[in-house]
Amino acid sequence: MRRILLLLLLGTPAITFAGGFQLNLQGLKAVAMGGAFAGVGTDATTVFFNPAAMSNLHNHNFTVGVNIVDANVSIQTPEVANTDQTSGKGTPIHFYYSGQITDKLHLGFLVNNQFGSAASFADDWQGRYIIQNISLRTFMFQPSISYKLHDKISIGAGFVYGLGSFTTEKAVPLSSNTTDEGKAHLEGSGDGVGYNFGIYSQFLTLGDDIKNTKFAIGVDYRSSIGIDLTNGEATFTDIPISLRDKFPEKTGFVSKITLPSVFTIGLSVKHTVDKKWSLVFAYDLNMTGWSSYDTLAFDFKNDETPDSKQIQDWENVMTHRLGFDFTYEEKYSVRVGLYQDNTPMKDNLVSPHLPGVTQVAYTAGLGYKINEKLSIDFAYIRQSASRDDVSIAQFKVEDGNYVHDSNGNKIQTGDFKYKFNRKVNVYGLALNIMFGGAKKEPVASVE
Amino acid sequence: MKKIGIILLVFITLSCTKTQYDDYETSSGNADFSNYVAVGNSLTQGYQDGGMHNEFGQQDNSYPAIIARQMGVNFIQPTVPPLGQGYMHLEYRNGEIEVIKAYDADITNNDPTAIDDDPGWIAWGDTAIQYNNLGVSGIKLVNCLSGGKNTTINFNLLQTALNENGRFLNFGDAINPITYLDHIRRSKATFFTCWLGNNDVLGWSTEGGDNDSIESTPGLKLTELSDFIEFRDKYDSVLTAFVAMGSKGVCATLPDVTSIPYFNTVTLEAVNDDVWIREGADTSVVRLATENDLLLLTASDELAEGIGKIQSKPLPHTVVLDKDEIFIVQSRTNEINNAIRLLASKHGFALADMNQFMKTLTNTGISYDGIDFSPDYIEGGVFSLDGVHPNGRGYALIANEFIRVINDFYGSSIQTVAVGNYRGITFP
Repeated sequence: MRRILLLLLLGTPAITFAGGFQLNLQGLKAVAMGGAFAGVGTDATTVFFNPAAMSNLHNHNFTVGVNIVDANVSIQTPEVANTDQTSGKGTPIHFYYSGQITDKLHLGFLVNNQFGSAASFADDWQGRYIIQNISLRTFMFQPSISYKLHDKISIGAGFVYGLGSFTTEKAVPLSSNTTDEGKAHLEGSGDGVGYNFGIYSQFLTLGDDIKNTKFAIGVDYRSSIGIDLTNGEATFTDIPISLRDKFPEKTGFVSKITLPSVFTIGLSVKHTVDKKWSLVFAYDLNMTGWSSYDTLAFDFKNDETPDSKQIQDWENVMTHRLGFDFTYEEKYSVRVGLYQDNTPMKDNLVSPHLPGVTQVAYTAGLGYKINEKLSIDFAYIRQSASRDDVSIAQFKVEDGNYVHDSNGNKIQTGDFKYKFNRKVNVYGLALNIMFGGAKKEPVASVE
Repeated sequence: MKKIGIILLVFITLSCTKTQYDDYETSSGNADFSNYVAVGNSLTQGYQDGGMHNEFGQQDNSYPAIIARQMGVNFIQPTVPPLGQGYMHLEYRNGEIEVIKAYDADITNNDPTAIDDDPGWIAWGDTAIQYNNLGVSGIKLVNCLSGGKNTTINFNLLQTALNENGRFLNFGDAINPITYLDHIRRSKATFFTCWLGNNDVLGWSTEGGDNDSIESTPGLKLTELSDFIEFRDKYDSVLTAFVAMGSKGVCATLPDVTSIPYFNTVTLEAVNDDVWIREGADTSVVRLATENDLLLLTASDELAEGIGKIQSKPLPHTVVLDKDEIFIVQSRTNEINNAIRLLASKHGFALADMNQFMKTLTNTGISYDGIDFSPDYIEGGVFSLDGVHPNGRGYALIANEFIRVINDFYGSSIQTVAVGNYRGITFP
């Protein structure tokens, strides 16, 4: 027995993201109202939610905000009673500008983190060969324009430039006399472009100037964005010397992450009684095109390193969002909402690092208008979910592709079974500033 | 602003973020694990890489030791010194991984890095201690008690003079032998696992279907395929002994030995050439090997010397399990497994179907904790370098299989183990 050819794969399972890698935290009025805003559009955050609704806004409006995402996730496997995720808190930010150029023309700009996910586990956790830690960060830059076609209809569009960076680590199950296992660290960044457009119409007003009810509808589409990771770098540590050909200290890789498209229809109804109080009801329906995220493949520059290909097989999902805003004397606002978050992952593909689940999340928030130029918003989201029956099916893979039996079915080789408890609290704070000839009338009541 | 602050504070206070699960509590159901005794052969003793050793806790993580740890009970093993009796390892030379055999005092061309037995090995084996792990490498079920084809004298000779792995048990002498069954009876087990019988079919197979007769002792055939009736009756005696002490437990079936890497690594495809073989012990037929014959792992030595490459120098029958021999050993294994299933059921014991487990490993492979396992030599991750015995991860998979069966049958709650935490192949 002299020569042995080893065909060790980097590992078939999973470098996967979770349902939560879309960050629905792009404006705090919206967050507090269950995320429904495409038909509301009362501040600069509408550059993101529906650029057409910039036409509602007067003068130069800025919004700058930050969220603190505090996720607590515990996992139980048949072998280990409790494993906590060790990820830190996430702090996605957003910045929006909407400027009125003429009565009919607005220009806008945004910088925000529309997608992101981070999860990590202790070094010795049981699923370390599946995932040790993973993080995706994105920054979006979007110049936008809106034009008022008619008193009741405006349109808007934007060009999106996205930057993404990605890091993941997992253990490699190879030991030597001096090491218990190896580690693979993959890191890459890249960019991509996309677009969005929207239509906004305040199509019906009932009542008079003192007491009225206004109906509005908004439609918005954001395209998918492919982030090409062309300069990825893989680092393999603690690899036995005899297997260094396959897992060198460093090698490049290329990959691509497709961020999904989102189509939204939003409705809003606002009832105003003089300057005393107003009540807004908003509903959005999102359709998120997660099916575009079907494969996450890593193609290594070193020929000996087995390429890794993970078939995600996600499904498109619909999200219902519902919110209320009660504003007193145009100064104090209380907002509540809820949304039904559907996981795009099929059951057998649910990943342990940020488990997906269909769930209802509750939101709330407060607004305070300090003066005509300055207001602040607070928002809060509470998500609580648990499941007792998650299992990640593992299938036989050769050369990065599933092996099928004679009936065309994938050959299952095992299950990573677990339960999980997840509690997420999100706290947000945003500042809205308006420059240039503040007018007395509230911004949303332009007709 | 103050109001807002107060309300926000209430939110934060209300939002409990505790997600942790409580620790598992182990329970024994309607079994009593307080004195768990494991009986069996090398698989039970924790043998791997061609020798008992404990350098990286190999013996400490025998499958019975894992089960006992999960049960939370005391479990005494006859612990061997770190290097034990010497074992196989891997070296990296000229860009290739080579398998280095254990040091063999009987030959002169040992590899300079060959691992010899530990200086402490000679003194190993304290027969005064009552051990929980009674696994003895090399033992056949039919040799656990006297009678049948094996005479009492032969039995004693087997256990004392010929099998150094059994030195931790006192087998008496030729006049007053103490049998393995006697040790089982003395164990006072409250719970047992019984995985005996593998050597009743394995030894014959790894000798290419040869009985390996000892000429000095007429009638003593070291690797003879065990007689089915004798096997069945003696297995019944072993289980009856456990019934008599009121013990509960699990019996395990035998995997199909022809699916282990020892018989599936040196393939015609790997050799990439015609191979001449001599058929079984009773024939003088020399012919080309076909895909229906299995060349043993040990055939690689002969092939390296050119034996088997020409018709006049065929591979000896002892390194080939030809198609007829494969049929013989598979049939006997099936007979024995049927007997094990029936007897376990008759005495009311649980059954761990290791034959089925090995089939699953062979047919589809097994994934555990994100690691893919197959029966392939070295790269499959389950078997140790000897191609017959599992490595640490293989034994952990086996322990989990037993645990699942115990929980199902006895209503106990013992946690399975994270297989990835156990040691696989040690690469250079």
